[in-house]
Amino acid sequence: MNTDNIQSLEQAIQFAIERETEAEQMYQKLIRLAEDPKAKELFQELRDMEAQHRQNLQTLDVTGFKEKHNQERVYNMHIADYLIDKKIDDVRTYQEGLMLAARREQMAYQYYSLLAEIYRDNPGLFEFFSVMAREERSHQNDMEKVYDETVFLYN
Amino acid sequence: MEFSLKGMLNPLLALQQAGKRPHTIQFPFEEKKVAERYRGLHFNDLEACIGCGTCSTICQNEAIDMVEINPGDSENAKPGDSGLRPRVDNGRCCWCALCVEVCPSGSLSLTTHYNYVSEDANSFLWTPGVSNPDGHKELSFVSDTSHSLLDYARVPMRELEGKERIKSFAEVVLGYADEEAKKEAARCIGCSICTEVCPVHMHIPEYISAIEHGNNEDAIRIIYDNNPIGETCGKVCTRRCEEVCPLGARGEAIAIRWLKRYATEKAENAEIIREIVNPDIKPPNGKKVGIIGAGPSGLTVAYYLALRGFDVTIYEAKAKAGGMIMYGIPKYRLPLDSLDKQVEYMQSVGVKIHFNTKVGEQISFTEIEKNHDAVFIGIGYEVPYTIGIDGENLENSIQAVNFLRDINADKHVDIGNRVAVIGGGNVAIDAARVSRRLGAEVTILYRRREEDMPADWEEIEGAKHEGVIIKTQAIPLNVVDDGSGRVKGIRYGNARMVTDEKGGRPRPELIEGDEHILELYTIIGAIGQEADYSFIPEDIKEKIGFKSGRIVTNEWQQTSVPHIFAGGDIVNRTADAISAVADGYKAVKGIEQFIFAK
Repeated sequence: MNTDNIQSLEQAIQFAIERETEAEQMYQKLIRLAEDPKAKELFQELRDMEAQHRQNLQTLDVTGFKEKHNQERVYNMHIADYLIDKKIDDVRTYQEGLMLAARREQMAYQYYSLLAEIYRDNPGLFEFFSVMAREERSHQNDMEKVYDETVFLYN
Repeated sequence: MEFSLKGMLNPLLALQQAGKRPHTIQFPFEEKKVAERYRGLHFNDLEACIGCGTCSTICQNEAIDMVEINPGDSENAKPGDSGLRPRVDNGRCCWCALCVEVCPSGSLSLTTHYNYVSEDANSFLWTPGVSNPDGHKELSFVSDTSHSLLDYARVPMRELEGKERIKSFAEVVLGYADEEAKKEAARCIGCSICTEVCPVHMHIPEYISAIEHGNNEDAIRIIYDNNPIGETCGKVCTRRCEEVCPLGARGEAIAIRWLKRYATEKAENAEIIREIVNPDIKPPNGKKVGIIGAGPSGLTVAYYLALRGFDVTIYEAKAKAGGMIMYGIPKYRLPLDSLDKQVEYMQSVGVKIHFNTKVGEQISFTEIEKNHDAVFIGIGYEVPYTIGIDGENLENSIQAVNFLRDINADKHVDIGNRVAVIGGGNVAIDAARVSRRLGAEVTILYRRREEDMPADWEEIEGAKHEGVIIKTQAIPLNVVDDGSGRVKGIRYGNARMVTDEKGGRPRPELIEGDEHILELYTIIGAIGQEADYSFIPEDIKEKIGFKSGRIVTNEWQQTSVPHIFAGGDIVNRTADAISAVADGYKAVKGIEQFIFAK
């Protein structure tokens, strides 16, 4: 499904599920390729996280959706802004894996933010994509925090 | 005599008074005002007290014993605190206040409270601070560091001046002379709190006492009892022992590291060490142990197993032993011949080292497994994290661990005259100070504040003394290309610190628009390292068990594959030599138990 076909909240959710599934499959592939135990462990965690996101979307209560919108401020450390954009085929190590994950979450945030803007006139879709953008920003922050606590331990 | 009826009835009149209340007036009791330095009952500030027991040791009447206030206090105590607190038998105390005079933390004092009446002998046992929680309001005799029986000032260590230091790689610390060492050793109160905190539990008060009394050979023997790289630790140890030294509470901690250095340096070569330590080497027991990596943990395992009659072989990828202490610590902190001497001594007691033998290349892990009864992995963290920003692969953007390794191997590295080091740990400081010695102007860029830097504060001070500029709250954004693929500079942004609402480290947040370019010849990344486990076969990796990139072991450093043991940086998180030695020492017992239980 591409964004042109989205007419309803259900379709929007289906679109998001497909993105989470793609991410899950990507990390599954990296688990297979990684030789470093720390990287393998990271990819397993990331795969499970994406699977959880997918399940959350699959069981999302559309009617109660708006009330669940989290209004907490999401912190942004801006670490991903300056990290090298790693391609999947170049990723093998723990650091590269985290760099990829942080950048992907950042790009997802930007993507959903853009979709929210595109569907500003449709309150249901605007709300959904805004929430998804916020979720992805929160995940970016989680990745940056891990990067800060591990790779940047001495920085 | 005239008879009188009244006289006969007088006794009965006296009885009249028997039922009446007495006419005496009872005044409220008022304690006498006492002298300013009066010696009344004890008070103990329970928070300041570290339970060192010096009060108990000094008491001539044996009136003080050390007790737990609550069951389990000893087990749950924080590092540097025994969890015990003094209890005073006021039936024995003579209020000489010697306990107060020698209390290093200053927690114990005497009060103006002197009136204590009880028919119960057990109630004379008084736990200051617990029995009188409000005792701090009535303090009288308190100890004063300005005229104390204890000496709170450390004998200063002589060092090269900053300008002299950067002219060469000569050792900065010059060491104690005999009288200086004795004087410093004499300050120790022998409480052993340091021993508890030392990862190896070195016998610190014992070797300090030997130094004080001029018995240096005894000191060396005591040091080698559980640490075969005592001289190295005497120069570069992270010295958690000094952090908890009770004298540090109100003055300067005993220079434990420098005293260890003093003692071990007296043995000038491997033969003299051998002669002094005179180790009891057990006859060969026919059991073989393979050790991967000649770092502090591997050397420790090898040395103590060799003394116990094991046939030990270390497989070391590099040309010399020592791991990160050989290739990561600059010569001005640890001269290479110092470590060579210690390694030679170990070889003299039977430790075999195969140099230039990288496991996975020159020999396989499986072959080592096959040829030995047990295997110990102590490979350290030697693979650097990259700085991860655009331009990091430009020419003259290098890694600190590689840079330090090359310099220690006497290789030429062209760093030019302007260098930036990225990071705030000891490796970053080492790279910066080495760069100064190579003639460069050096700036350290660190994302957080100076107080957040993981590097040893003495190293930070040393770097500043040598002219290194430390730019804090500076976030590298990208490396600037000079147009020909070489480093021209680094673009960085200033940051503000933001409190982590969940209680973590304060985080640097980039201030948008506050960006600058620092022109450079070389950038040195020093943000951290990780391990390279590529030599371990996949099936073994699956079985061993890793957590956050570290090998999981039990208390004897044994992995979930019973014949494989591990230690050092790949197991513990402290990333220092003394913890690696501790891991090695524990593994010796673990390996022995494993092999002889088979």
